[in-house]
Formats: sequence, structure tokens, C-alpha cells
Amino acid sequence: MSQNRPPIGRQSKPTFARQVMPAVVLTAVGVGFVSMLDGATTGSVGLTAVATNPIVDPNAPTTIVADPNTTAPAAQPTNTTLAPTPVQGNSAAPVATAAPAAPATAAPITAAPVTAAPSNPGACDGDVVASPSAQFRYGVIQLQTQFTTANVLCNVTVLQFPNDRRTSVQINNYALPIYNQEAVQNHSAKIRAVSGATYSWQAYVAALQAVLDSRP
Amino acid sequence: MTIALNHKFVAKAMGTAASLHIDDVCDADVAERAWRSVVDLLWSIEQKFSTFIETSEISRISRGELHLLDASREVIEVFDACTWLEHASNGAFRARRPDGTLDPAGFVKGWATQRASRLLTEQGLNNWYLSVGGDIQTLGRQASGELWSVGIIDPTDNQQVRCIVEIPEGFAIATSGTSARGRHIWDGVTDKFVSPLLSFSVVGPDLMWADAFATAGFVMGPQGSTWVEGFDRYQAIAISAQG
Repeated sequence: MSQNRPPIGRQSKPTFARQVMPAVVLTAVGVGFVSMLDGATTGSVGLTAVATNPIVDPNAPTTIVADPNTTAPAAQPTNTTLAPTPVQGNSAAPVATAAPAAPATAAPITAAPVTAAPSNPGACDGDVVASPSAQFRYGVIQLQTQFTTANVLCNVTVLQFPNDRRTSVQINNYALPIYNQEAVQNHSAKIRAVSGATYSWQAYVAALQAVLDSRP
Repeated sequence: MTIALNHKFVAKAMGTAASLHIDDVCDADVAERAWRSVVDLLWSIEQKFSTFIETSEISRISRGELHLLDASREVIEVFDACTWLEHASNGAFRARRPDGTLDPAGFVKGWATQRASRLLTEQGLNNWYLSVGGDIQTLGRQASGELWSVGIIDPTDNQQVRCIVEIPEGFAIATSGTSARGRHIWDGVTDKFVSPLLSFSVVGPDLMWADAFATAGFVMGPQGSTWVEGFDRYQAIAISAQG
């Protein structure tokens, strides 16, 4: 098949998910980071709960990829503040002066404020902090963050992600954008066609594709 | 003359549903004519290949009334491809029932859909998808500029979509499984209807191969994904119970 471009006058733009997701994730990470720094001055580290947006977002992919180059505006995360669980290393809160409030738009991770840089600020070997498991509508999500000794957020790992379905999708190649069921349930409007084991005409008439064909 | 952005058609074809969505700005008559050519081609292919039609070439070959070498060009082309697939898949793909009767149905639907979709390109349409029973060939994008988004049916509940895949421009998707028409796939190696998978989809540039790879990959089970991805630009999405 030739891969023709769309006709003139039609923009081929990146999908909504690609535009917004990195920003949503980064905003969540950014706010969580700032919240943590704020909490540090009072001795109790607070980590803002990761935004629910990645789960209820219509286009949320199942993999969270933080793109440090993306600075697009994003939706505000929820304000629920949850106490973190230290996983390893120094359980004491990292010492830092109050960080300036981050704007709503996510700043690149490497641009996070650094005060009183210690000897090796670049190494990602500082505190490891896991967010508490947060129960959201479609399951549990938990992130683990790691900081450099200069208290710069340098790593985010997804410890848990909703995966409590009867069936699970194995995706062996992440080159394809595949949105999981959590995103599907809220936005069937996004689907233009359905693929499954061949359905009979009778089954079809009562099924999903018939709905898709009848939509405006 | 009725210019519109969105044209949708549905018809019964090849024992299942054929559905065409055109997102080109074009005259409704142009879209209608393109759709009719698609339906006509699917119908004529069905007359040649259906095992349910007594006079089809496949039925006549099965009864010994017609030698394969005397069959039409299309039938020979299909059996060529099926033979290659049997070898390439180590027998997981097969165009024969366990009792020995010919049944290339596992290949014909995808092949026919891709051939029909060529008619759309020839008629100047650049943004559409054609689905025959859930085997889908696309070209271009949706009117919104987004890629075509296809839901994969949950194999445990065919009223639900399990995940959504965005189809790269010009690519196709086909899914094999046990859900919709009963267990219509048999294992060419063991002659049994088994697979540890519930559903197996393949995305790639040509629907005829995506469909055949999905059939074979489903039979292969967990090794199917690796096998499929040995083919350039083809990717597999396997759904398994408690994977």
C-alpha cells in the first residue's frame, strides 16, 4: 500500500495523547517534587499523589514515559497529599531550602532547583522514595522516585499499575501506540473500527461495529 | 453532487459484515461507486472460494471435478500463498481441514479485503478503512488528522473492547481467536483446536499477510509473537488469560 499523505488542508498532527500525556505526567512529577521539597523544610516529606489523569485520561497509554523536552501545559493533578514510604537509604528527609513554586507547566526534570550542591550532584544515588499505593478507579498505581544527593529528582519508576483484569495484553513491541482498557471504557468514541476473531453477520448486527457505523 | 467529509457503508459479505468508512472530502456519488465496486469484488471472490457454495471452484476442486492447475488465476494465487505460509509457519497455518478437504478461508478473507481496498486507491480515495469481519485495511488518516483507531474486542466478552490500537498510515490489522464464530481455527500440526491464547492480532502493511500471520500466530501460541515479528514491519498483540 502506498502511504499517501492526507489531502491539502488537512493537518496530520500528533495524537492528543502524544501531545498531552508527557505534560500530564511531568506536571504530576513536578508538583510531587515541589511538594516534597516544601515538606522537607518542615521535616515531613509530602508527595503529591500522582495525578489521576493518566488513568481516566481518554488517551492515556499504559506506559508512562517522561519526556524531559516536553513543556506543554497540562491539567492540574489532584491535590491529595499522601505520606511517602521510604524504601531504602536515608529515611530522613533530604535537607533543602524552600524551593520556588513550580509553575503549572512542567519544567524539564534537569532544571529542578538545586541549592547547596554537594560533592557529586550528578549521580543518581540519593534517596529513593516510593509514593504510597493509591487506589484509583481502575486499580492501584504507585511510583518510586529517586533523587540525587543535590536533591534533584533523577528517576521515576512505576512500581504498580492497574493490571487486575481477567485478561492481560502482552505487548511485545512498544512501537505501536496501544491504549489499554482503562482508557477504552471512558472513550469508545475514539474508536473507529473494531477487530476481533471473525464475527458472523448476525453477531455483527448486534455488535459494536454497528454502533460505530451509525455514529455521526 | 453532495460533497461530504464522511461516508460510511455496511453490507453483508463473505458470511460476515463488510464496512467502509471514507474520511475524504468527496462527492457522495464517488464514495458510493467505490463502495459498490468493493462489494462486487467481494461477492465475485466469494463465488469462487466459498466452501458453502456448491459451484465454487474450491468446492469443485474438493470433489475432484476440477484440477488445481485448471483453476482460475486467483485460486492458484491463493494456493501459492497458502503453500508458502504452511512452510513459513512450520505447519501452523493450513488451508486444509483435518479431514483433508480444502478450505483456504483462513487466507481468503484478508486477501480479498486487501484486493478490494486497492479499488479504493484506484478511485482516488486516500483516507479510509475497509473492514471485513474485523480484518481491516486502512489508508491515510481520519478526518480529524488522527490515525485510524481500532479497538480489539475482549475475547472473554465480545461486547467489550479490550484495548485500542492506532494503526500506522496505510497499515492493516487482523485478529484471530476463539470468540466470535466458535473455535474456527485448527492447529495444522496436531489437528486439535487448541491455543493457550485467547486472541492474537497482527498489525502490518498488507492485510493478506497480517490476517494469515494472525491465524498462524494464534495456533503457535506464546511463540507466535516472535515468529510474526521476524517479518519486517509486522507486529503482534497477544491476549492471554492471566498473562
